[in-house]
Amino acid sequence: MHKALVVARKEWGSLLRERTLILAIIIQLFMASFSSFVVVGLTTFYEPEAVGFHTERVGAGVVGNTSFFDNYTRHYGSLEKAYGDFYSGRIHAILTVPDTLPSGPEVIYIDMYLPKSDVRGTMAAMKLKEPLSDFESHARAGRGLVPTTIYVEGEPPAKISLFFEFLYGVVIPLLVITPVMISGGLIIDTISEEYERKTVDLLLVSPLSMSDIANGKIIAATLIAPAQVGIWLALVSMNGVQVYSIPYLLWLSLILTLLIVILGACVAMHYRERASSQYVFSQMLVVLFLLGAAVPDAPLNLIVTMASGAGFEPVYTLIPLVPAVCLYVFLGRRYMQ
Amino acid sequence: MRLLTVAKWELTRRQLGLGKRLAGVSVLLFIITLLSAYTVAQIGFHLNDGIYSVAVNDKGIAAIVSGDPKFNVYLGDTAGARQAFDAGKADLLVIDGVVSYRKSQRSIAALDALDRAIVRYDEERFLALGDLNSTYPVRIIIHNVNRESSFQLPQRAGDAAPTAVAASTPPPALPREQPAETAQDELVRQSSGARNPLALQTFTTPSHLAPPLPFRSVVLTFFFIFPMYFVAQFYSASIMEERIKKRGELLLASPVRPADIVLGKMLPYLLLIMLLALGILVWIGGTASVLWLLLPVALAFLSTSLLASVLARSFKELTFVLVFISICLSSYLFIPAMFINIHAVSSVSPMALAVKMLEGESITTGEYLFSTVPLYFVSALVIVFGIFTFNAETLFSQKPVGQKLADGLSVFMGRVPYPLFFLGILAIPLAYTAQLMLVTLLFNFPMRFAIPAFILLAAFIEEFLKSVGIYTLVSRGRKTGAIMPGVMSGAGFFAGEKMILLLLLAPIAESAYGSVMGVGWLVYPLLFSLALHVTSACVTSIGLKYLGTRHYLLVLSAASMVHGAYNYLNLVRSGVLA
Repeated sequence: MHKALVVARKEWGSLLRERTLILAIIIQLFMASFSSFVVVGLTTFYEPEAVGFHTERVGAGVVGNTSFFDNYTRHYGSLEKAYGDFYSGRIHAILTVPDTLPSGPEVIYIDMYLPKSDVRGTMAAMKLKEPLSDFESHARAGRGLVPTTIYVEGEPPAKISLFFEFLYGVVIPLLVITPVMISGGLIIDTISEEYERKTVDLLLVSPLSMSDIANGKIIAATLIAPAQVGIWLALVSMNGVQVYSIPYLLWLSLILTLLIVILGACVAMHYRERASSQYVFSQMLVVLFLLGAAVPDAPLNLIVTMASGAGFEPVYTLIPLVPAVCLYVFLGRRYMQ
Repeated sequence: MRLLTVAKWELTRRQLGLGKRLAGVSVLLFIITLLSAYTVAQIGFHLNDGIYSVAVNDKGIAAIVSGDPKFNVYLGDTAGARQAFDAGKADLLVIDGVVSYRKSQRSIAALDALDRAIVRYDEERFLALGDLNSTYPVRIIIHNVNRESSFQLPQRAGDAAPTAVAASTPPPALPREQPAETAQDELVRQSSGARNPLALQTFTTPSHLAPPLPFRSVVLTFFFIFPMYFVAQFYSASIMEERIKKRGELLLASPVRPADIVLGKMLPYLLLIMLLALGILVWIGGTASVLWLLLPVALAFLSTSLLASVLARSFKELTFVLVFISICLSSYLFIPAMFINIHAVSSVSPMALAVKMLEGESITTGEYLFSTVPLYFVSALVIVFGIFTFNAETLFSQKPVGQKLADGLSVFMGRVPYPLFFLGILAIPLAYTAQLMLVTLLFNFPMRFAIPAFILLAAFIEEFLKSVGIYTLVSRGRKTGAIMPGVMSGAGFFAGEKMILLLLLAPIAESAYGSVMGVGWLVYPLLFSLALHVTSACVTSIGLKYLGTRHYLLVLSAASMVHGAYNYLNLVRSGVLA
């Protein structure tokens, strides 16, 4: 064990010297800034209030004998007048509502005019979604299809579910999983480099055994990820996002990294060559990721429920240990003799 | 011809690093990937399962909510449900159709999600009755109208008919043919001289009204990029192998030039990427011209992997640099693709145009050039630079990356007459691409933050690129004057900017972004622009000469401030900024 720690310390030393760790942190910064860019970009359209965007300034106009949209739009007597304001940029969407009776049997065709390739048009259209949906419910009721209704105590709050689900269901799992995968890539590089540069022979004539070398590298690669995850979650929390159950998240990332790193070690010691190992390993990760996202209570789902503060079963964090131990035993039998 | 020999060697002897050993595993892994993708498609994503919880006393509501796996449901009598809510076990409490929520984010989000779940449930319930017209009594016809916006690629005279945009997901089984009466209205409106030709229209219903985000096509284009990651990996592995096994030494000693080695090794991988892309294209059913959009993307991936594998000291470093490059490139390619229907500037990304083509639209030559020329230029530049650094000294030494870059630069500067001038010209495509990346990052922010940020950052990028040559000279201890390097590099940058950007950026020259990038040449006389570039470069060269390279960042910031201030004043003067 002591010898393995010596190897681990040597690995950390070289990581610090080459500034690879800094690069790793920059990678995560990029991932975070781009994913939050996408999240904010998307939510601006779906739920403007969730990202603090006020839509009063994107005006819309309506033409037709209806007062259904008056709280949301300006009323115009004719399409020509509405067009005037549309082209001068005072409004960014026009609805024309026909005289078809809402309660009648006929289908009601509403025309919506939007500026092509213009953000404001999209925002104006999304602002109209609510009154249009109310109009639809009204028309359905008129045709005998009564919607299920629930009532909210007090003033209904802003809509934020998509933003919430993006944040806790995409961004945070991504930030927790990236260091885990990076550690997997790392173990492959350090092991296959010893083989390709033939330095493994030199190491083996020293008092180190093959298992000391492998264990040392596994320890080094495994401990990096939870440290990165910890830094991350601290940064995210400082940005005002409340992340729950941080100790559990760190624990889960440790166990997941152990599994992924042992898997990487198996692949690297089998191929003894970087390109093939990285290729096979990343294909395996794709499969694991796909299946992990599809199974409820799999680690990815656990990360989401932990971080968002919903209830979760702590015992499930131990499940990845089973394949990890099996793989480790296999590694020892097959490649460390 | 030597190039082809190297290419043939790479293909037959090295078998692109794939070999027999990987062939079987590849096929197996591919099948497993397909199977798991199929499984996911069947059962869907379950990342957000159990993220919300709700306590109810009503079996009907409980049944509706249980249909959504995002919810955990506690069903009990009134007292039991209230107790669960008060104990914090549930985010929402529904008693006899009245919902209570807390002030927490999760609870507010849960309320919204509950609302969505009910709307979905109702729709399924109504659809099951089989009366389509009553289920969707209101239909919206979306018309996308051309309107001058502050940032729009102008339509050229030849491209008369504007193409359709905005495709929101149509509801299931909705008749898509156009109703007769609206078709007539349309004709009447158009012939009565409505001001603009209307674009094609799309149907939707109020509850299906969605922003025109082409999720499906973006996922499809990801299939093209995915093999590129892997193939680029193998190419860089091949270069790395030459370095580690020192076979490169033999190659360099042979009459083959470094350019032949680099390009010859690249060729088979490029062909492989294009072949794979063609296969995927046949599979998903698109037009072959999409390949022209993928070519510059493939070149960008391969050239950057080349440079990374020449510069990296170890496998670890190589992996990290490659991951970093892939992330930068992918976000440059995919983020605009998401917003192609929403903002015209999105067409900076070739993938955005590919999405457009997969959505069944056509693109113009102008758009093609606008999005691909910078990538072609940058790739060419990176490849040339890779060739310069492809020598025994760089390949087989363990110097840090920055040092190797400086080495490559000084090789370049030793071979070219008036090196600073030419470096200035060559910096243009890099500056252009970096600034376009900035635009895509900033265009969604409010203009009053985006424009100042862009002014400063764009100036910084230009000043950094202009200073690279001067920095190399000073750090190598060459004797230089204080003014001359600044004049040369500023003049070179000016020349390059006017030559290349004027041709390329004509589409956005009139917008605020365009004039910051120095292409609003109609707005202010050329002479001022030359004076600006020379002055700010002189700030750098004087600063570096007298303060030394230790204060590089400080000197660079000073030069950027000068440059930024000029751009700002210019924008105010020309009335682009109020």
